Amino acid sequence: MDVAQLKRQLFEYTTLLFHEGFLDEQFTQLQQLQDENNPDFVVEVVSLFFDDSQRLLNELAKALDQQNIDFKKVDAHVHQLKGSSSSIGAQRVQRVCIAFRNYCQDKNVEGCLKCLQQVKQEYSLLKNKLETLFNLEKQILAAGGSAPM
Amino acid sequence: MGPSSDLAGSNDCESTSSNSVGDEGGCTWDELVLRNSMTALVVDGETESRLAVTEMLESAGVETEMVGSGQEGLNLTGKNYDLILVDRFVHDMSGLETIRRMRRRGVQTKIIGLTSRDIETDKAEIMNAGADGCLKKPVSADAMADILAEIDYEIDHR
Repeated sequence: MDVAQLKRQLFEYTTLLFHEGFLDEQFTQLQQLQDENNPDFVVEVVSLFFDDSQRLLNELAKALDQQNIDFKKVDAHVHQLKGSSSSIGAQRVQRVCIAFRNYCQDKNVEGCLKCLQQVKQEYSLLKNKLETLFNLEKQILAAGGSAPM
Repeated sequence: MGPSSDLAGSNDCESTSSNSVGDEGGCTWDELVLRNSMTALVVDGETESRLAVTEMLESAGVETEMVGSGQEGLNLTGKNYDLILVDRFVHDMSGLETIRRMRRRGVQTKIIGLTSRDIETDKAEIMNAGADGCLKKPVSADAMADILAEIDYEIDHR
């Protein structure tokens, strides 16, 4: 596939991610901050998000598995996940976190467990899609194209 | 992305607003031209947000340091930054306590609180802690531009 075709594919794929609500304008803002002085900025921030999210999801699973659930602790983890997801424009993850926090405040175990499953699913979907997006970018660069914005 | 950081040029926009979220007018990112060199400190326990805000400032030509804990932030206050941004969430103490302690140490720099919670609810608390303004996270480039333009103006008129 030539550079032009790859760029088109990237454009269409990115547009779809926005259209389906996986990403919002905050992701665009991160992309706009990337330049020749910091060419891997978006990948670096997103990679940190992946690491942080995985850690938080593990902590949430552990916290919700307790006999006596500490909802304040659960809420604190969800708040962090909400914050980091909003920082990279992970809109769908963020939305689940908002619902999750409401269930924490209501001390609703069933609701929290449901949200945990949902947020894991949304995170997993997003991770796959962003990895696909970054692979497309790499292919463009490897084919001699310029760094996509 | 960055706005023009032509230090020899004229200030294309001057902001006299308080730069709290919701203020209309002021400077947009695309309009921002800084006349003066500036330094900033970002104190934010949330890694992605800290990186994004720092990169935003750097791309505007603001020499920026970033830390994740309130104590690290306090340790750096002797450096006389032009702008300090403090998030509610920092690693060791609350962001509000960090701001309070900075003011108690005599820090006169413009301090802007950051919050991912409802800005109207948090604004009063943040200002009462000693901040000069607050921004909702994720921080928009235009909101940041407004603040930088205001500081640039203040440096010119000292």
